[in-house]
Amino acid sequence: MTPLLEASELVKEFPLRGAPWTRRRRRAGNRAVARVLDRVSLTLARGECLAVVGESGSGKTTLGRALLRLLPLTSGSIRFDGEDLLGLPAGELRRRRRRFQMVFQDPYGSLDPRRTVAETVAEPLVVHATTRGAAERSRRRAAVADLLAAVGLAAELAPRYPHELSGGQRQRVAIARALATAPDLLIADEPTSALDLSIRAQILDLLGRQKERLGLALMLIAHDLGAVERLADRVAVLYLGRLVEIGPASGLFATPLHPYTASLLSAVPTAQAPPGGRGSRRRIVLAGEPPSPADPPSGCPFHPRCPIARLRCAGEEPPLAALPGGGQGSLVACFYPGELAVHGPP
Amino acid sequence: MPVPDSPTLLTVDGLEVAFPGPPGGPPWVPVVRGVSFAVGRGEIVGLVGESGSGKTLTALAILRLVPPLGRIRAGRVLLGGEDLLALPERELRRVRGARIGLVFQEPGAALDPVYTVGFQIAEALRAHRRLSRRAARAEAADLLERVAMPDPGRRLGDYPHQLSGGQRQRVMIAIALAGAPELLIADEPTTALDVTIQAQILELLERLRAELGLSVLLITHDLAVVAETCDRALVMSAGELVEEAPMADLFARPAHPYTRALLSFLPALPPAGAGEAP
Repeated sequence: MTPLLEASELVKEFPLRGAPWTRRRRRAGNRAVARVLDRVSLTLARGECLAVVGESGSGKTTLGRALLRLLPLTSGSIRFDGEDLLGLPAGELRRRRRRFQMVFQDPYGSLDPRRTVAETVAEPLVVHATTRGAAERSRRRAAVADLLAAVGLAAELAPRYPHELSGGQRQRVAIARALATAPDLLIADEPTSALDLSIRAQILDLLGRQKERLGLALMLIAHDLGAVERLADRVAVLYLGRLVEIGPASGLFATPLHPYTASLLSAVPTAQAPPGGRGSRRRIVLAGEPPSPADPPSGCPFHPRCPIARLRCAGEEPPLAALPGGGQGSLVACFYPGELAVHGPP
Repeated sequence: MPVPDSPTLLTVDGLEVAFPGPPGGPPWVPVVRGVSFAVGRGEIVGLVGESGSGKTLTALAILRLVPPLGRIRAGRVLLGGEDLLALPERELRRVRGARIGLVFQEPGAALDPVYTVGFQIAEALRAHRRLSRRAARAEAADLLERVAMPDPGRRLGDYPHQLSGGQRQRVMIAIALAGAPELLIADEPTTALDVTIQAQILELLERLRAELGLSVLLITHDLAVVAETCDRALVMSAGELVEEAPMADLFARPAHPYTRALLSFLPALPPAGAGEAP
């Protein structure tokens, strides 16, 4: 079966427009760019949840937006349901948009404060309506009621404005709006980062239920692995715009192959035992901070912070490849995959 | 009189903080109710709870920094035997910063954007001790080194906007250490940071405890942070302390239903070695 979404070799570069007197401008002239996505390829099937995990500046938000053509790519190709998304003219693209929707991180910023809940949820239906008139309007009202029920919002909230809602309720509204056009693909960019812990679990469960109910392809963008464990079928880990590991969630959580994945995993608490020497997992503390995409390191992008880096890592960039023998079905960009163990004595 | 050899550094006893209620109801609405706990010397204690549970207000009340309208209605806060709630405001200034340091969640907002970080650390040093500018600057560099700031000498001349979030939080901790406090109250010190930087800041707090014998009250909504770092955890819900337990017990045998609920939101990772080894 062909995947619903197929992205290959996505590259996004932003021009670095330093002011004329800055050192950066003088050194690099006007051609300097920051490569925020570097040859990222991935696929997403119907009914599957792919989690994209990375820290600030890893390019995860840019990736989500680029996949939906919300920002132009420098190069690469995206096929949605077999069709070349990047080649679509604007009018066609707009008609296609009902099939892929997005939920944003900040439910305080992504809802229009002057629209009621019902108006917000109905808007995509108005935009993509094919008929007009009283019949269409009553259909729309019924659809909004169904959507609110589906995301667990009481019907009384329909005439309310966003400022009257809690963060969790707002995010439910944003999800209802995204589901209004019955999309095939939903990209949720850190949908729970702005919410309290108990509300996070509810929103993730809601996304999971909708995925099952509608057979959605769900891409969940997050900055740590703990947030995606509940839902992810597969996980992709981004570092400095590059895919460093992608594979089935079960394998990646049990045996991370890339040392960066291992360090992210070591930061996730578990309910069974506290990590950090008191439990079964060791804590991996990385040195330094992520480098800037404007000035990436040589070789492997992770090598300056990597606890197991060797000379080769600084000179050569490891390709994203399967382990000899296939391993757990993961692809990893590391010369020494699996050497940094998460489990075991600290 | 302070009792220098007492193993308990801070005792909070029956603390109640209230805000004026809406007209027609009771005049005071308590938001922190009967909170009692202790922090030992060299101990790292986690204060856990969700937004609105009263954990930040509890910490602010220790230093009598409750925001306007709010009032400490009852309780005692003993620091080495001395009741901070009974001290006159003038006396309190020898405690704030000098004996208890405070680190806030958002280092971008807590630092002054128009002064260099060197100036801001030196300012904190000179507020507590008579020091020449030159000596204060030299000590500021030492403090930055202590909080593991890369290239501390050069960072002194940087403005906050030139630093990353993790570096700014290191500066905040350096400022909090300027008065050589016995207790550090850290309110969500890692919440605004990426997970790998979080781990670095938590490791720094543990190292400071080991090197300086510092006690830390770590306020957070994140059980991961507590699990990583703390010896003991206090769980707050709706203004009350609902559970107090050593870390291992909290995870193994959570007593209060609210704690169990918090734990249930944590991911259930596969046990060690469940996956196929590469």
